[in-house]
Amino acid sequence: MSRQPARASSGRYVSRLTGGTLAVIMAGGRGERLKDLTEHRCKPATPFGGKFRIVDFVLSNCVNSGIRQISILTQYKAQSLIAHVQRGWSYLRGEFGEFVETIPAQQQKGPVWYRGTADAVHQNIDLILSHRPKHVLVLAGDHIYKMDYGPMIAYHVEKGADITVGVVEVPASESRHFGVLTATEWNRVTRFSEKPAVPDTLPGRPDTILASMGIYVFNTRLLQRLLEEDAADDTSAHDFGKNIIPKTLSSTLQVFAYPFQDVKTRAQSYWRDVGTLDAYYEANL
Amino acid sequence: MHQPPAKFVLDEEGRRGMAINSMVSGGCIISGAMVRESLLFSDVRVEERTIIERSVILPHALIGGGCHIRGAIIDEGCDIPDGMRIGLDRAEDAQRFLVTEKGVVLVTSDMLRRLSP
Repeated sequence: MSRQPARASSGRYVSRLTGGTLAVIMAGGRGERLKDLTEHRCKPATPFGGKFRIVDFVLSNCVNSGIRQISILTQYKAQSLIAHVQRGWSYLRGEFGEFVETIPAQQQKGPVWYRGTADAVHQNIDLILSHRPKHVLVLAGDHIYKMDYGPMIAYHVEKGADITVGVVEVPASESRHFGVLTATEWNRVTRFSEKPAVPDTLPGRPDTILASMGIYVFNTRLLQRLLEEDAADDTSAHDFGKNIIPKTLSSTLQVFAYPFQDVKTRAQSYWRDVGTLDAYYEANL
Repeated sequence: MHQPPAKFVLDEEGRRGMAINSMVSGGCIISGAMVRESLLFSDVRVEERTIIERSVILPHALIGGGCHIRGAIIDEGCDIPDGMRIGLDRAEDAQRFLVTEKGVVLVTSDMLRRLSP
């Protein structure tokens, strides 16, 4: 089904891109650093902000961005998450091809549970391909932020990128908590370090670094190929940040960084990884 | 799913239901208690003469009377007994609950159950 893409000047350009994108939300992890708070529930199911659960932020971002085909990958203590999605996110219309589905870990590729984030997507690749998306938007399910993904996908297409990684600016002193990217002035990614003690800082700004938001735009076929190659590699930890992305940097693939900024002011937009109890407490208050 | 608005009752010296600089979700009942700089999720009940400060209280928690809770995260469905003090004595808290690097006290039902065998 190859129809001519709408031209950038026609207002439908971005909505056609988001319509052809499948969002895959990673909600399989426990979030160990939340300690007893995730004793009986997975991290994305953790209540937040008085009325919501952590996963609601990324779900709301998708729906409001015009991405209405959403797969949530679950594993650890998923029941309260599944029940929450069924009760609170069932209003999309199947008649329009819209859905939010929760996919449990099913040992689809042999008797193993998910070995890492990339492995989780790899085990479900057939399901993902069955929706025939042009792009796959891989999203971490445990961050607090409000974002329209449309411009990020448009940026990915305009740059001719193979992969686009969403990034935020954080203080260099916090580098041990993040995947840190080094990029050229045109945002082409040259290096990816997982939780480095001494990070590459932004040029001319020695106390700021680019941190990965854990959100990636992939061309679907490329994602499939990268996952298959990674699955066959026994030395890999099968993680997007630690393995998939760094491997692409030594190839001819074009990986770009997309800064998450306010469109008008270019100021850094609010984004929180409520991964520790202290971060969770501070963000709530 | 749909809760009634939060309710604040009693209006006497020392027994006044109120919340200041806080967010109090639907279904909550604050009965003669003071809530300050806190976030209460849905359906939380706070009994008389209790003081809650700088805390995050998850849904369906029941806070007894005469309690003083400061700088805490109270997990879903916790039943805090009358007169309990949380977040005032770090050593005491570390024995019963989990205290974070920055001094935030996490209280869960499992922990409370272990206190009264």
